[in-house]
Amino acid sequence: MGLNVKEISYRYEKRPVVKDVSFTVNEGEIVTLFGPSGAGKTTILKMIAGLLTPQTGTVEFTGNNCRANTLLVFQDYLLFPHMTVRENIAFGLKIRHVARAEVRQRVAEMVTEFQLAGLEKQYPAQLSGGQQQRVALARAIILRPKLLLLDEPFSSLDGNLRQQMYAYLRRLQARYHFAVIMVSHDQQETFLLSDRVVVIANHQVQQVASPQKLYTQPVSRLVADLLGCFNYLRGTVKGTSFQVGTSQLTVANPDHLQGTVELLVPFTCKATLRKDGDLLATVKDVFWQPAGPTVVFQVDNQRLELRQTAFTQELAAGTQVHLDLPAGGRVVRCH
Amino acid sequence: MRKKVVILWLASLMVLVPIVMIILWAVAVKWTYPAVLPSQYGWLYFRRAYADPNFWPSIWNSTVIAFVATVVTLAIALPACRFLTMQHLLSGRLIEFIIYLPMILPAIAIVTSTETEFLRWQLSGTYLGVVILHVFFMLPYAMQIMLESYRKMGTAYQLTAYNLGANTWQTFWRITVPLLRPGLIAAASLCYIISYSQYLPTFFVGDSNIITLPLLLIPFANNGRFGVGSVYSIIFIVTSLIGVGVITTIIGGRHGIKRQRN
Repeated sequence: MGLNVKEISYRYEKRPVVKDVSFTVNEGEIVTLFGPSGAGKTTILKMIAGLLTPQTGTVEFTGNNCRANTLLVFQDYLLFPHMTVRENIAFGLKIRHVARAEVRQRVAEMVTEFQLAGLEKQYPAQLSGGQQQRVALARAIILRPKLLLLDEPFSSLDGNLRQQMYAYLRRLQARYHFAVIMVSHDQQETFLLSDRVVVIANHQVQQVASPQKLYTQPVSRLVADLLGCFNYLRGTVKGTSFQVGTSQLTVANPDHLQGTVELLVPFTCKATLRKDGDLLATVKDVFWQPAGPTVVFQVDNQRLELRQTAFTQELAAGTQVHLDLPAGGRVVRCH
Repeated sequence: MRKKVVILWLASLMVLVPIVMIILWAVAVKWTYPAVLPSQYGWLYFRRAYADPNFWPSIWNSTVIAFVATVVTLAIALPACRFLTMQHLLSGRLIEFIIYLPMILPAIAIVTSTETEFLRWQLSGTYLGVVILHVFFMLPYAMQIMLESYRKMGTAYQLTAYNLGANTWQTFWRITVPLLRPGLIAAASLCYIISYSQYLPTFFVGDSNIITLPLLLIPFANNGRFGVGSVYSIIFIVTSLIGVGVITTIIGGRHGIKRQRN
């Protein structure tokens, strides 16, 4: 049971919003639609929820999953302003004419689960952002969905609250066994929560991969840019040998590129200093950080920033060093 | 701050002076120049007004016509506004122009030409005819208020309700109506009062068959018989306020306007 999205497209006044998007979601999985705003992510969610009809392609629910079991929680929660917290949570059950006693019992369960005790009689306008979000989630989860669609669920919460809500979502998901499709443009959140990531840019799917794979093997410069956690070193490649300035590095080149390419060097890659290291670099700047200093190098007139470094020797601006980067960095076509 | 107080006083004076005058006229049996206040008070004019055979029928007619016309106006305005906010074909300005047309055209021309048509269709002198014409003059106000309410509400709440499993009917009654309630109450109250105070349309299309309060009132006022005219004015104000109260309560239902705290 799950979801099969097949080549769905949507145009709005001749402007493409979503172009031939396909991906699948398995039981109990958290899949993130990751990409810049305006890429069509929310439109995809709306099509899955049935609020918009794809102009081409299909959304298939497989196994015993169906659209009625798919609930969408909007970015701005959209709690009904004329109903109390309790009435909001009970809404879905009431319109299904569920017996009163059961409604009461299930609402009480949700109130405990979402730590909303004491707020049942408040109106949405009286709640904080985090409380509103919990009510919005409770209103959906009380219906025991098989698939939960979350549109930028954490974007309007501040840092601390976000961290809490991440843990929350994980726990809820383990308890109620639903799959999640989440829309996000936050790279950290995407890496932290997703089982798989669908990268969407320019209204199309750019890559579908696990967070680890996405980080180590982004398929293009565009995807790497979206993730926003790489340096790009320009040089020439021949087979798996990459030359930048006078230095030679061994790289991964699955696309068999030739000539001028860019090497992706993650900001947090574990570089070491070695006398006979491959890469000749000059230290430009050093910034102290709790997790290890951020060092900015200059390599062949290009900027190379490494974060959370753990060098054996303290670096000062102006020093020339030999860097040893982990082998097998990925090269991509130039921008 | 002082300026505000002065304006407030001026405003309340402008509202209160006519009402005080009406009340004085209604109870003044003898009030001649140069006396500042009436020299003799009494219920004479109330008795005269009450003795008119059209006293109760006029109140009844006014109330029924205003009530029915308000319901019909809202029944037309609601779906029309829903459609107009959803569509992207016509521009907002064009819609507004069309809505305001009944107010731009001179009322007397509309009323007289409608009457000639209504005579042919045998609608003249009937309640239906009067209600139709009242609705015509009430629609611009109702549309303007409801259009704004619909625009402010948007469609997001409806989509949410739909996603949570509500059908169209449930969404309309549980989400749309409560969210539109403030607008609905404003529109209904205004419509009721507009219908209640119509003179020309009732006069022509009513064919002196259907007597409403303004029809009784205005001849007295025009002839300088302020005593009876004032009594009718007081009755007019009181009964129209009662009507507005009733209609507001009906729309407010169990969930009064108080519950909207947003």
